[in-house]
Amino acid sequence: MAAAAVTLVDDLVDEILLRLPPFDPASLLRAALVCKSWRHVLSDACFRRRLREFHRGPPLLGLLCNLSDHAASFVPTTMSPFRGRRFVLSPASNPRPPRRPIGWLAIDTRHGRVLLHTDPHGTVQRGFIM
Amino acid sequence: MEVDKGKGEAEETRKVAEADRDTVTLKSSDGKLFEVSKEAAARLSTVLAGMIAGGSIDDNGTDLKQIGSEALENVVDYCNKHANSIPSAALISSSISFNTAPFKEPEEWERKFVDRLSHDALFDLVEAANFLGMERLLDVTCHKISEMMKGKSPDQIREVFNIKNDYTKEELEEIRQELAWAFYDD
Repeated sequence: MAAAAVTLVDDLVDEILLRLPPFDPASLLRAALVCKSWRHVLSDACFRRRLREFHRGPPLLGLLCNLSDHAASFVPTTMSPFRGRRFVLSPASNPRPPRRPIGWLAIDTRHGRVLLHTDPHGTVQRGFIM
Repeated sequence: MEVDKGKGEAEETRKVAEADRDTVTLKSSDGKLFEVSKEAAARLSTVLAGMIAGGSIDDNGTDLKQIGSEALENVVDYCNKHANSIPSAALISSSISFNTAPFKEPEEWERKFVDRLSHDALFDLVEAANFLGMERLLDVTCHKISEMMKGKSPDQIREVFNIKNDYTKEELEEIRQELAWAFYDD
């Protein structure tokens, strides 16, 4: 497509970015890298509030399911390079990962937070994490 | 005196006739005239509705100096198509505030309407819709423009929108590394 002869008026930029597809959240990040003023629009709290209202709530990014006895998996549902893959949850902050990864089982969710419990069959590090 | 009275009556009759007209004439920045249904104009554009209600419509052509003839032709075309496609009763019940209204997908005819436009014509139309306070047309044109970003890298988006990159290489690299998952081409 040919480059635009005219540039967009500033107050139309947020109207356009507001309409980026909610099933492709990465498109917001790519837009933020276009120029600083776009990043400014996208990171504004008012814009984020409008975005949620406009698309009737935040998008469903994926599902968390206990697919095995050992760990919960996050299955992305949005367009992303990770689509079709699953992620097993394990503690990211552990500086020395054990030979056998510690799995976390999802116990419950409330208000966007997830309660996880260590693999009940694991031998190390038992506990809950939010 | 008799003649003057006749003139006065004629003037009165002309005014009544103008008020009864069911179209308004709009004049583009380059002087071209377009007629649009008064009802559709008032319903679809908050600015034209205000002008009609306030009596500031000029029957010889209301000047819209900010809008070129191609964009104004598209605006008028949209108003006419819209007036024909949706029954008035359905429109009255759907008149909700733009700022808080959730997104409604463009209808098939609206999609076709914007799909046939050239890049420049689309950008001119979105500005005209914004200027005239045409919420639905702004919705449809902005949606089309946002679709033009689909699957594109920041570089490609800059090219489409004629935007200068004001990030330094280092800034871009830092963000890219942090958010590598968001980029298809990495």
